[in-house]
Amino acid sequence: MTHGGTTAAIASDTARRRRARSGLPLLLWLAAAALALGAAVAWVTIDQRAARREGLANADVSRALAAVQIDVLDAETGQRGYLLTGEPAYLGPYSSARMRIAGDLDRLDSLYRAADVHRAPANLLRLHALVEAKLDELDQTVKLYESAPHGAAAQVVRTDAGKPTMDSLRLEARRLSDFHLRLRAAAFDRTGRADTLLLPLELALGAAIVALILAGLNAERRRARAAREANRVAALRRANDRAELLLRELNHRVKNIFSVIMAIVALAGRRHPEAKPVTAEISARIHALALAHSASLGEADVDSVPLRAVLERTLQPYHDDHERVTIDGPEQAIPVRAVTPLGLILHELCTNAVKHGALAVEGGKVRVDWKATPGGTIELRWIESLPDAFPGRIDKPGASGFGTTMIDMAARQLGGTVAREWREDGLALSLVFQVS
Amino acid sequence: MLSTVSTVTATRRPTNWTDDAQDEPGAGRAQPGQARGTAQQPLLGRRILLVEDEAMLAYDLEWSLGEAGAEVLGPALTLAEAQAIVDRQEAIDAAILDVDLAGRTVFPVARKLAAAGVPFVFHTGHADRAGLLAEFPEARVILKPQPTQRLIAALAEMLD
Repeated sequence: MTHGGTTAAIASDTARRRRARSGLPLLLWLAAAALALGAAVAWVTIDQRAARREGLANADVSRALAAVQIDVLDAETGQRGYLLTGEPAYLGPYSSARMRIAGDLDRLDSLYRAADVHRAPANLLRLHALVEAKLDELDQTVKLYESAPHGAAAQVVRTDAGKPTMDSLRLEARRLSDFHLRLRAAAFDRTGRADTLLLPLELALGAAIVALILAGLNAERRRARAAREANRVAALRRANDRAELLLRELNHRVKNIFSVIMAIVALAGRRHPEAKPVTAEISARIHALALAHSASLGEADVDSVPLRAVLERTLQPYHDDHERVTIDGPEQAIPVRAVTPLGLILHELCTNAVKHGALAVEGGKVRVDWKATPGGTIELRWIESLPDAFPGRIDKPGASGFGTTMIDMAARQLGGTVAREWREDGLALSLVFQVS
Repeated sequence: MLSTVSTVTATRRPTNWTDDAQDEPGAGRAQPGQARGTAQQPLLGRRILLVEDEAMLAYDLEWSLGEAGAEVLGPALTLAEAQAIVDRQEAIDAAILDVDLAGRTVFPVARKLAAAGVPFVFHTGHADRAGLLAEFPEARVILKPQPTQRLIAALAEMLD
């Protein structure tokens, strides 16, 4: 029973420890996964933002290119109008376009300086050169016209010398613009791809966090359960210790009270010397009871007592003395309620033997033995014997005495029966009583 | 033995069982070490320190010791009384020590007696015989309850 309980306890303990061992890494794994997913989400988000910024910047470049183109076109349109009509009113759009160009080119340059735009410096320089060449051509024709209207300027316009420059400029601008529109498209593609990545990543991150929380709660619940269990065990141990302490204290008090009662009886005997035989008898009986009960005091089992211990304690004063009393029998427990009547019976038998029986004779002996008998009873035997060469014999006492009645009453309390046989050697008594 | 209770006759009543528990040294007491017991008075002339916090028990023991011929120092019902007697530095032949004195142990007194080589008997309801003998290997332990004759006999043996 104890062995099985211990094994089960060890098994459950091992299982608990295994669970505890696997519990921590699971939490760590989940935390690592959540961390990795969080990092991925952050990385993709940052990349998406960069791509969006890049896309917008490229769009800005395209717009700035278009603005420069429009400026040049406006300037040319104004120049043509002025050259054809001679109306100074056409110089208005021309001058304003010319003034815008510097700003729009600066804007283009600054966009290129911004880190997010892929550099194409050679194209940009070429564009600058073309714009400058075109403006120079326009300025030149306008100045020529002002100095000699209808002369060289018109000729310059008519030769259409400005067209190749304008075509190159248009080509260069379109090439650059196409390049940046492609970059813009690529960047927005990247943001789209990031979007398709982000959703599953975020879902996975959410799942990992939920799993982490659940695992954490579970670990916490397990820890709390273990703590409760430890508390319970500690409380049980405390209660046990307390019970043991109380038991020890109670035993001490019982023994103390027995000794005080014996002292009170002895003192009464001193006060009334004529009553001394009586008080001595009372003291002796109380002492026998105290001895019998000392077998049960201090035992962990509060319901039963080893029979041998009761006999050894009660017969101790005679047992010590040259082994005149022998005690022999198998391991046998008797109920605690049997201790008092049994102690009284043994005491009566002892005092009778000392006064009138085998223990009154040099070399006389008593043997006490017992065996289990059917129906949950035991038979306890008290057998007196005289030394072999003893000349006389033990006489059966007269009519049923006080001691005999006490023994019979005590046997009734035990729920048992007494059989006496007076042999030449002395008394042989058999006591059968219930023990379970 | 139990039956011997009735054979001992009271020879004298203790003289010092009064309201004042301290004893007056008797004028004619024998010198320690010179005392020789007899069968009737095995502790004749011995000076015995008696420490016991149960009044009835102390009274009975004092009387028994007196009957055995002893001169009783005490009885001390408390640790303080016992210490006061020991600290008087008078000759003590032997002692009976109740271990538990109203929640305090008699060990301080026991240590002084052991250091002075005075034999003593622990008279206790606690069953921790081994624990007592571990610290006081020379001591005897008699578990309560016992007839006072057991204590007298033990003292006589130790003083023999």
